[in-house]
Amino acid sequence: MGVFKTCMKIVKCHRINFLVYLLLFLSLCTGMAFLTKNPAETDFEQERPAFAVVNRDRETPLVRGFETYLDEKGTLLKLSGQEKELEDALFYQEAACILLIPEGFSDSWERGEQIPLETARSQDVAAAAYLEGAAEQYWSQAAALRALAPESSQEEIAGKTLEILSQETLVETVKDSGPQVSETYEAYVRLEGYTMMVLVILLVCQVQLTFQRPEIRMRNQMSPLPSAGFTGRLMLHGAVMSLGVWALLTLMGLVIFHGQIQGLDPRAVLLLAAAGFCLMLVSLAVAELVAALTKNRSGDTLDMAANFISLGMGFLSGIFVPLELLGEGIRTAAQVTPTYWYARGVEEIFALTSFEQSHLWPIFGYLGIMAAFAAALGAVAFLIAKTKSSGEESYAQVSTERRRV
Amino acid sequence: MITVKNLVKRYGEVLALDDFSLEVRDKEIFGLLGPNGSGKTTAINCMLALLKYDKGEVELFGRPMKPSSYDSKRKIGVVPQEVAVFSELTVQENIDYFCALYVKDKEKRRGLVEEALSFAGLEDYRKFLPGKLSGGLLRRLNIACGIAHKPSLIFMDEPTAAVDPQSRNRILEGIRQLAQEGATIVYTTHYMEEAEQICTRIMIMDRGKAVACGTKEELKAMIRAGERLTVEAAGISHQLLMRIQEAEEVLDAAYENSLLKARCAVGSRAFMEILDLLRREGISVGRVFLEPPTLNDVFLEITGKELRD
Repeated sequence: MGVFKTCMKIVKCHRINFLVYLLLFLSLCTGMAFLTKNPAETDFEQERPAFAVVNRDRETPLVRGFETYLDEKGTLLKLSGQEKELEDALFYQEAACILLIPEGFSDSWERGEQIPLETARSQDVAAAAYLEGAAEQYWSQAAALRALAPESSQEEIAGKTLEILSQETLVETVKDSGPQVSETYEAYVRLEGYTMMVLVILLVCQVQLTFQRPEIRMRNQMSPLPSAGFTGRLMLHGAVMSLGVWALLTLMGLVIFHGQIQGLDPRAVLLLAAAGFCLMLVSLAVAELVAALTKNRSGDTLDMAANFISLGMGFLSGIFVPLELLGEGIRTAAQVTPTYWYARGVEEIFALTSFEQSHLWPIFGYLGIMAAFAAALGAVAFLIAKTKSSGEESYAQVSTERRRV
Repeated sequence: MITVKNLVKRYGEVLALDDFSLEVRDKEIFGLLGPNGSGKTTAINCMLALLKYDKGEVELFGRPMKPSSYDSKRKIGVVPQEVAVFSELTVQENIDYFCALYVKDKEKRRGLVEEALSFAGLEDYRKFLPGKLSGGLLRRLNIACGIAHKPSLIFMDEPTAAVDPQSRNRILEGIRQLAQEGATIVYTTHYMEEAEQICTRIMIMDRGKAVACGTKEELKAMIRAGERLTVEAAGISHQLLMRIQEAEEVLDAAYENSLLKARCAVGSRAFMEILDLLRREGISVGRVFLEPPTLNDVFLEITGKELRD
């Protein structure tokens, strides 16, 4: 059984630990998807608030037209006009508002003057304002027509006004590829950063630390397989595991949220996958660093280290809490964490409305920063491992000194 | 097979190996005997190029041993003092993994793993994880992992440490079998009985130095002490004990709990004289034991302290 196969066996042996994290993440995502399965209703019906018109003037074609127009906007109540009855209608909210046509209104209108209507509102201010607006619209339109054709009769003006005001424009709500596509998917992609880091650290470190056990190292060092051979195989295993985690989480996102991301531009999906890939490289480098720094190979210690790093970075860099909610100081400090650039990248990708180069450059910049972080952390891990290995000389020194103690 | 010349290894101020030299011949079981901390493990680790040393030369198979001596490593098997197996792999998988580092051919390896399982008596435990094995079985697995690839030179560092007598006998029997099959074995232990039982030649170590080397007979011949006499006898007076101690060729004598213990010089008949003296003095004598000298006597005489101090 080769080194690589042994690595896989070790992973298999600790699979429960990894599956727990995966299941937690999966449940969270399924929950999020379920909650947003029936998105908020975007269709609406016109409200028809009740109102009354009390005419204290004479009956004219314009007043009749006014009542006709308002009747389309709301429900016209027939009230006698007695003060007590009007007060009760408002108090018990039978009418949202009462429009009073004052005495001499028509005469002054014919003279080209305009006495304002008197209105009384109930507590339903919004409905009242809506009806007042409609009334204002009617009389303004009539005034405009009178100004254009002063010789027209009231009947003609009223008819024309109703005709103009009855015109409608059909408005259709369409989806675009902007951020409103799926906030849940965005949350998933952010959270994927944390899960990926925890899983990669656990998968890679568990194997690395097993092979770092002094006794195992001694036997391996005494074999004809050079150390570079072991390192290469362990790195290959780490890379395969990390790629697997990245592919699994990316595919899971596409499957769970397929309904919600149909409107998303495929190029944006590719960019998100690329951001995930860069974070996977960072996670792999962090895992190598943890393995190089950790001596204790117990599962609890490893869990603790993986969560401490992933949760810490996640909270600091906007994976769990949107960046805009974090303080200025924290945001500045967060810039030294690779996950901050992941969160920024994801945010920018979801906000993309155009795929012109000028829009894409900042995103590529963030991905580049993550790749640079991965390279730097990987180099530090390599140096520490090499220093440790040459400092200890080998298993023998560790083992002998331990016995001497 | 192994030549070590004037090896010096320091851990800071502590001198772990002090001008240490040895020569191990082909197909022998060479024992490194010494108390804990005498430098046995350090010596092995230096021989295997697992440790850098300050001075000296190490040659294995007639060639200097370096960390990159992969041709030599191919012929070496190591059984470390601590059990070095993967807790995640079964018994069979562990043997297969370590064997695969040396033998690439799967078919050949399958046969070697079966042989190692049978050698260690682990056939019935092949599917067990190491965590389910007893201490003795674990030690046997440790050995099986080190010898599965049929090395011609095997280093065993205290393979019977903390093992029950039954497993110990089985392990010692296995080591003899390996030697009969043609392997050269370097065996470290602090149990003199084990060294006496299986080693062709023995080197006694103390404080990083080789204090004596040879067959057990040669080692015992190096010292003045011969048989150790133990007599069950009641009522030996202080004066009588003084007379026994002063007798010719009696090296030392003590009387405690009705037991008279005396060490006599090699080849002497002093014990006969002691028994005659006791009879003359009217002391009734019970059982009499006469034991040949042990390696502990050798160690005691050379270093002035017990092997297990």
